[in-house]
Amino acid sequence: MSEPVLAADRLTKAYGQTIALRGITLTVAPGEAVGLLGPNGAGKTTTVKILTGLVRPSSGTARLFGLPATDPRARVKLGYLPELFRFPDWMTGAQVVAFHAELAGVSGADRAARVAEVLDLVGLGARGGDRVSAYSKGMSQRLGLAQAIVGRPELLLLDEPTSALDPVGRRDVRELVTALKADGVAVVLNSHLLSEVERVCDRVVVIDKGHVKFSGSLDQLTGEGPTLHVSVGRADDDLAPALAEFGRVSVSGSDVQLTLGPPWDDAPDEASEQVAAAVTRGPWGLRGLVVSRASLEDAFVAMVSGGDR
Amino acid sequence: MRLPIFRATLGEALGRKIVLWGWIASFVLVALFAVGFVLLYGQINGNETFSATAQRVVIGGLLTVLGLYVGSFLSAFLAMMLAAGSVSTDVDSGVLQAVVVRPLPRWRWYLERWAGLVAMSVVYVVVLTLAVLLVAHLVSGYQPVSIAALLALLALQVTFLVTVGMLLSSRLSSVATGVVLFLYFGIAWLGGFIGWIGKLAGKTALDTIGTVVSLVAPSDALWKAASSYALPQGIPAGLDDTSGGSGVGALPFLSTLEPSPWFVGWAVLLAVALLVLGVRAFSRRDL
Repeated sequence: MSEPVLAADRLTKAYGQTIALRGITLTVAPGEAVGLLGPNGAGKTTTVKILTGLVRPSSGTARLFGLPATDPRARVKLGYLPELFRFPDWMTGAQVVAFHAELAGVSGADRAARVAEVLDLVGLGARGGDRVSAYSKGMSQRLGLAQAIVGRPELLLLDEPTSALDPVGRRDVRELVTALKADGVAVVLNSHLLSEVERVCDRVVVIDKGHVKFSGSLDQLTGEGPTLHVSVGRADDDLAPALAEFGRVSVSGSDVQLTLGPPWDDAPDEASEQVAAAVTRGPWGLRGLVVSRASLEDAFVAMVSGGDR
Repeated sequence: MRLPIFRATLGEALGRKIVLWGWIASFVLVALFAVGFVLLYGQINGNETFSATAQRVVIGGLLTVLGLYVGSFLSAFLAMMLAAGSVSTDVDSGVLQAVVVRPLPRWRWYLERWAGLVAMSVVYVVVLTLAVLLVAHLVSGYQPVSIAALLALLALQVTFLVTVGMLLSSRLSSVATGVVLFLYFGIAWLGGFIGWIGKLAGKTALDTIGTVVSLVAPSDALWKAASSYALPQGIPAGLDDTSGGSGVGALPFLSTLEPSPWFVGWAVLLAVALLVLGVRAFSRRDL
């Protein structure tokens, strides 16, 4: 197994009497996209700041590419978009990206071409010569993304990258992040926009009150697999056994709730067809069939609302 | 990398027109000084009640040092203004967060930033001082004791203030840094004044207070040390000293005594220590 690009081990952080983190442990593998979720004040941004060397943990270790996060060499392959950021407003957008390219070690010969390339990628190709003071909030966020990727990072930490963007901008960023991920870039996405996390990430880590409350796949977070809601003309005692091979069956009157189990939970469309066929073959009469699954939002709210909350 | 933070610091001063307004203020100062110098020199020149030596000392010595004093104050003001927000403003605005996560040690960011601010402050005080001296020389043939020593001590003064300002700015907000820095500068000036009174009145306690303050806050003492090299060459005996050998001179804002090498060494050492403290404070700060 390849070495994780990011490894946090039992991170704690106290600001005076306030304890922000109470032992965060997480790892990110090369090319993996991980979503950091949690309510406001959960400790997500503190975690990200420790991982970037901006904040020192009270205890525990944070490593990037095998080196302590506070070691500048660990950050050679890191791209970072802070949650709250500003760029020098006396610079043009292109100057900001060129400045960060130089800091990231992009060679002088390659720099101008790389700056133009990333400005095009984030949709600022035509506005690179404008001063940052003339940029809208959305343009500034695009510029933030440009400076984050200009050094060709292998790990991208994005703290609320789409919070100021309109739907088109969010789609552009999502496509860009997906393309980077396809190129093998590991991505840590800290976002309140659960739909973004759902579409981009392979895995989610839920942080609440300084603890990791969950770490796993989206399916694991949303609980059981997809559910089929089947409506029949007439239910009898034979209906549940006839559908049992697809998962857990619950019959109430003429409504059947079928929670798909393995292997059908990975192929809900095919399961729908098979269930419809099975119902139609029997005496029950198919009236309707709908596939649903618990949303990430439902699972997230349930998780941070329950437990020790 | 070729000092990107140093270059960005200079670029910021140019981009924000700090340099432009600094030079405009300097031009006004030098122009006023030139007009005043020419008018006063013209009145006294040819007046039989003033000897040639008196003209050189009164006009050359006092007016030039007064002009340099105002220039030194402007330079110190600029240095403090530049330093007050040098770290805290970038931290508070979020500019710094995207920069220091780059593979750049924090000490390097701090030192390059410091070097940029010092470079601007030193160039400013050097050009302003030379402009004042040039006016005095063109009008009256004025020659100070040592231009090199004068410039070196004025450069040390602004360097010291930038160093203190950056140290404060790495821990406090810009406003708090500005307040503390001006209080520090004011205390240095007050200490120098108290010490001058102590020397004039022969009060050892006051003199000691002035000395202690000059060691803790040496900006005013560095100016006075510089002023001793700004005085005209060849001051006749008796005109350089109005208090029986103490070398205080006739006014509280100058000194006719060359500074002790120990004091200059101490000021350099203090600046270095404060720079190291600043690097350490910034390196350990959560951002």
